[in-house]
Amino acid sequence: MSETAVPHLAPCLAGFPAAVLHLSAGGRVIDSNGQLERELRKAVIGERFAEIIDTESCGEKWNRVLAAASSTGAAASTCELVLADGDVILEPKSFSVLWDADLSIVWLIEHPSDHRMETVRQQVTEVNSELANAQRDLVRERARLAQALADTERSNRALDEFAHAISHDLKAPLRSVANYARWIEEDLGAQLTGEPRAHMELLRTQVERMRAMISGVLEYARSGRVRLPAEVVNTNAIVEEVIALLDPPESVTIEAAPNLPTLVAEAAPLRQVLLNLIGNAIKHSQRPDPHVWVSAQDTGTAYDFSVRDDGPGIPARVQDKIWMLFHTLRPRATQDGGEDGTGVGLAIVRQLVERQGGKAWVESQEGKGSTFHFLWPKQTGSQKGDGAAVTGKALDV
Amino acid sequence: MTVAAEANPAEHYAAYLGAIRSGDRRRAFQIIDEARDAGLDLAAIYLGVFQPALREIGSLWQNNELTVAEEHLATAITQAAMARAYERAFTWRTDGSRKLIAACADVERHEVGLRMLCDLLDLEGWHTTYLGAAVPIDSLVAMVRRLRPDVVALSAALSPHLPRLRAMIAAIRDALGDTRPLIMVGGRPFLDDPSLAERLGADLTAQNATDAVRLLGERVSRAR
Repeated sequence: MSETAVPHLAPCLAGFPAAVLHLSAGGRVIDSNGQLERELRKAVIGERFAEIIDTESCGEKWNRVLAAASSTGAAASTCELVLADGDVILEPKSFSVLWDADLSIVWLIEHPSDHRMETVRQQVTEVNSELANAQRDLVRERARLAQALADTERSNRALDEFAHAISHDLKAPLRSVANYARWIEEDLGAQLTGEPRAHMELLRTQVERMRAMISGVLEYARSGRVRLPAEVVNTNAIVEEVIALLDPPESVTIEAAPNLPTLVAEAAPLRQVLLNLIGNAIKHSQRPDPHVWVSAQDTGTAYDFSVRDDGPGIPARVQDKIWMLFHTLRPRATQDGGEDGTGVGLAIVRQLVERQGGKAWVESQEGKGSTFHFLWPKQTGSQKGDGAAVTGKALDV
Repeated sequence: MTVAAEANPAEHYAAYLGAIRSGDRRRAFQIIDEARDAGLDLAAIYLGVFQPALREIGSLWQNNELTVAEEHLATAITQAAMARAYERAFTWRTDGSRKLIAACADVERHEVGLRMLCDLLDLEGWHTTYLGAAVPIDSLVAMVRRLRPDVVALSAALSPHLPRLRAMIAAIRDALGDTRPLIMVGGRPFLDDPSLAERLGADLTAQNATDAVRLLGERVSRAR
């Protein structure tokens, strides 16, 4: 049958929002409603339809569809095709392929696509890709942080070991200095008088002070390292233990509020913090009848402990510095009767409290005493009495 | 769950293909988790499960057994499954010295292959930047100028996109001259005809993502 005898498409199909074509049995385009011309920017009538599809992806598929139509006489099938011409390649189109056996022609009717759906699909694809990028960035960042955390922990451990080794090694020559000083004193006996004798005493004091500082470094390093299982702790009992340990003279009054909390906590660091704060309050009172008050408030997520004294107070300008290692307001405390002026106590307090996730601070005015506060966070249920879980908590941040 | 005496991707592949064919995201994820548990590493899953499954999805479309919508869904599920497998495999060990930028020449989204390459290079300690599909040539050149990568990897899934790929390569060569990065190309057209890479102005091509990782490892030294 001659191709020219085939009827043309109705003119109204030009308004159809998708391609309508009819092809000869041999696959040549006989008529088109003009849609495909607009998209491919070329004339298609007279072309073999196989030449305007992407052969690589759809060539065989098209041949099979065409063969099935003409040989089996199947009335209709659906087929998705990528149309292309040179550099122009169109998005895949879905066609109904209708075989008109009487006329030996094939009708191709594109299923009109909803452009809004296309836009949505494209945006979903883009968002999907962005999400995949973001997810990988997150994974990489998380891995980097885990690495940084491991590095930090390693360097902390190294620092602890360093402090331990240094302190240990420093003690030996210091012992020798102390020994030589003692031998010189013994050898000289009654000959040692006046200024040399005073210098010798200062030497001994300074050696003692240095020994205390070295012990302080050790203690500080250790306080940051050791983690113990949490247990049920009665703070009133702890305060009593602390008072027994300090064994203050009768002139000292220590008042603990009767309702100090019973909580789940590591007992040793809590005891150490209270020991250092109450000890400091007595040591630095500069009065014959020091008074110390211990109390606590429940803030909901933590306990706010406070240790108040009626001592000389701390000048505002140094309130930040007192927490630093080896910073003390009275470095010569050993000379006027105090037993520890090394400036380690508050550094340890802060380190122990911060290890628990809390914080420590002071409120004070010169001449009006000081109140040292520390926040001790409450532990969540899963951590109660479980040392491993408590240790794990530090890694979860 | 099947117990794999020796980790073999084939059985996971068949199950995975079934899952993405029917658009079952959860089942697909579960199969990949099982493959990981059975001891398959990321490269084995990428090349033994994802890659053949998506190629098969493409063939099913060519055979008129699958619609484009179903193909897109299968690809999207695979993108997510890849991210999931990557997350479980990734450990930070970048040396920070070897950098790669990846981009698709396609206006469509056949980007899984490049994504595989980037993920596998990440695991080798590379720093990769994946720009995605249909990146404007100007933006690509600007990015290359700024990041100064050792390698730019470009892919084209269909031959009609090759002219665009050639234009991308020419733009990088023009803009950076002797200081230009190594240019690698990949995609289906290069599987059939590897010599195409050189004709388009690229330095090298590879048959799959692990080949590409090996080749780049040989060509780009750690310390520059």
